[in-house]
Amino acid sequence: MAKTTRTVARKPRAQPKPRAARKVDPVVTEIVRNGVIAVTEEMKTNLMRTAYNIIIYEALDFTTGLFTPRGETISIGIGLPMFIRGMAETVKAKIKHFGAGNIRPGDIYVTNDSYLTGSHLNHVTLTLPIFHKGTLVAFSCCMAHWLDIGGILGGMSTDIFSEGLQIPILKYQDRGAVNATVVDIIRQNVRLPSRAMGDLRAQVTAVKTGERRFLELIERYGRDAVLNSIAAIMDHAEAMARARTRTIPDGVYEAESYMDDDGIDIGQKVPIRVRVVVAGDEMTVDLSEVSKQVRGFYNSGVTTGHACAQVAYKCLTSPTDYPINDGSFRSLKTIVPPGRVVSAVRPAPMRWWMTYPMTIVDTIFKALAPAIPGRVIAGHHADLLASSFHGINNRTSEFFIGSFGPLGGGWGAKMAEDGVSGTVCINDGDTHNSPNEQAEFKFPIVVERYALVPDSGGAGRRRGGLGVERVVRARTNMVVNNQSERAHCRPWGLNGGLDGTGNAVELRIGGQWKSDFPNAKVLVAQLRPGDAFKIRSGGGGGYGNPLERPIEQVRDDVRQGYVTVKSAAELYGVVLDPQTFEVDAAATEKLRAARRSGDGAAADAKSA
Amino acid sequence: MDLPLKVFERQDRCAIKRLFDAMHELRYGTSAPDEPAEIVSLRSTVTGVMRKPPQERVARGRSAPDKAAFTGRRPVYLDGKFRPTPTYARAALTAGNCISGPALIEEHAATTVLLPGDRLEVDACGHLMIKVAGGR
Repeated sequence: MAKTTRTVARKPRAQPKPRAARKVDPVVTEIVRNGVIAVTEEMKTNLMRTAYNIIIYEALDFTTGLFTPRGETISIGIGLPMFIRGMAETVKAKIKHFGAGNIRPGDIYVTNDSYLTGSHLNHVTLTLPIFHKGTLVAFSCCMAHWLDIGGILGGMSTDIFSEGLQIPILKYQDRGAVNATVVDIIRQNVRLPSRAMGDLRAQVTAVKTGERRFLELIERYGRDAVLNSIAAIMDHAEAMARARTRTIPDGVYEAESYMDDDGIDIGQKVPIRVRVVVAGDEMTVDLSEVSKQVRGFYNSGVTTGHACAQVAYKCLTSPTDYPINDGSFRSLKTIVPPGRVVSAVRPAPMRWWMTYPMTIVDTIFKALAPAIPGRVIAGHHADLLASSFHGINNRTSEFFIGSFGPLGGGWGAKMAEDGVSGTVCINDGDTHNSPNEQAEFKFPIVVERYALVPDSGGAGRRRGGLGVERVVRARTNMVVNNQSERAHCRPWGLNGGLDGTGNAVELRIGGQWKSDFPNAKVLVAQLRPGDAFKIRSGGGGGYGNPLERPIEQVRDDVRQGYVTVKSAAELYGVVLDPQTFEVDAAATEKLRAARRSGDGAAADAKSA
Repeated sequence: MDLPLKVFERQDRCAIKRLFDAMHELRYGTSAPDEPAEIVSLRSTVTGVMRKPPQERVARGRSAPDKAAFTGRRPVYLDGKFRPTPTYARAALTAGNCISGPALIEEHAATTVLLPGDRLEVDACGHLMIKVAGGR
């Protein structure tokens, strides 16, 4: 077993081996490349088909993957980009916990340890060792978000114990026999246990699917051919990432942003400072100056700190190089000392782990903007805006926990294109929102409004994407929680582009809208039938001077309802007839000339 | 999941659930025999001989197409030079009409090119039966 481990998953630097010595047929390698992608995709499909909760089968809040016997990522089916590191590190922790000698065919390991996965307790992670004729050849692994894992229902948590059941690394299944004790303990500790059991079985389905299909690949092409191909794919991914890193000018790049607050010390900004060092074909991302862990539940574990850097690095160097594998990250170093908001230590609260890391990814792009202006993106809304609501359904008398999944919002503009509108944030980039109709069918609510928000995208030569607004009316007594960030630290523009709008939440109680919240967080708000909550995602930052945006594009934006006539004049210097949307060319030329020569309206708007 | 007719006739719901669990186990590696299931879609296949659908036929005409079918001439590049070539509206052709190439038969979404020597006859259903020059 140990011998295979060395052959398959060595680190090329630790044990260099001449490339020529490894016999790999390039045709088989490409078949295996697509084969492992197909395996992790089918794991996703079967998980979706068998899961019991909308957050898995509609929102796709999960990640599946194949790993080497040493726990390195071969292929990941996402799910959550920000889980790119958490799963591999969880597999490694399980290997270490049991020891290589105690990993046996028919085993399935489980844990939801937040400080291992780097995320929250809802992320139950199952791992199955794959054996071929008695030899460990890989692991298949599946993380999925459970709707409930116990702990307080809504509100703010201040330590891990209030967040629910903690499952240490255990054998859910030992040589084929299910550990009934573990199952009983889980059943007793979660709300909606029968649904949780359905999701647990769906995860077993996912890891078994990975096992079956990976073994078919080995049966068909031979064990050595498949394993050597995987090593070659990872080496290739490394070479691609290094080649792209070399095109970034050497230097030290820094940027700063902040989170609104930690949900407890309202108004107390949480600083996010990143430092990126590029030297030749290697990059170092230093998160030492990111804020210390906070009292509210916005912390995440160290694997997520590393994932922040890896997600940014993958976007910048090899976004379309598949499968997503650990070869791509050999040229990236990350410095994440313990005790930061993205490397929190026990017993820090972690329930809303997913929010801060997105802003770190954006800040890494911001740092690199001077070096590679054509390859970065302005700031995005950077939040799930995944309000949840619970109560007793008045028709069925059953307890429910409702959610639409992520709302989506505006993304930043790039040098060559406008930002996208109404699209899910980067932490959960491959998850979906749920259809309004389905949520209305499942939960006692009515969606009154769901629309793009005009003028939310930051103005620029390239305009930021638009945010989205959803108004949800309660049809029964319910409790609403919305934990959003970035109301104040708005998605920033780049190179003269203006900021987008921030995220926001409002409540309608007894017919009166209340919108003067100090941030975008509303915890434990009580709604009665007819009351409503509104969540509005921010728009993306713009790119370049708005006065340089082609006049026809501004006119089209106004026609589409993306930009108002007022903003077209104030921000873009384009004068339009409010009825016909015809451009007044003379007035536009005059206004743009005046703006350029320094009446400074655009510059003021930017610094606002 | 296939539902044997016998199980259906017996209205044996437990047997249906057992079949479902077995299929779930086979396909996904897990099943939930203790949980109730809901039938959300039921498909049936019935085998038998269907009555043939009626065939659309076009009106019978003479060998020469009606004047209305002839729509003019257009220059068409044939055998190395442009030649004035007659055009016909397909919708106005009737069964039995014969046309010798070169000619263009035009319709809303297609044009049929009749090369020199090709010979076309419209059959009872309006199909253009073309004997290609040099063909057997």
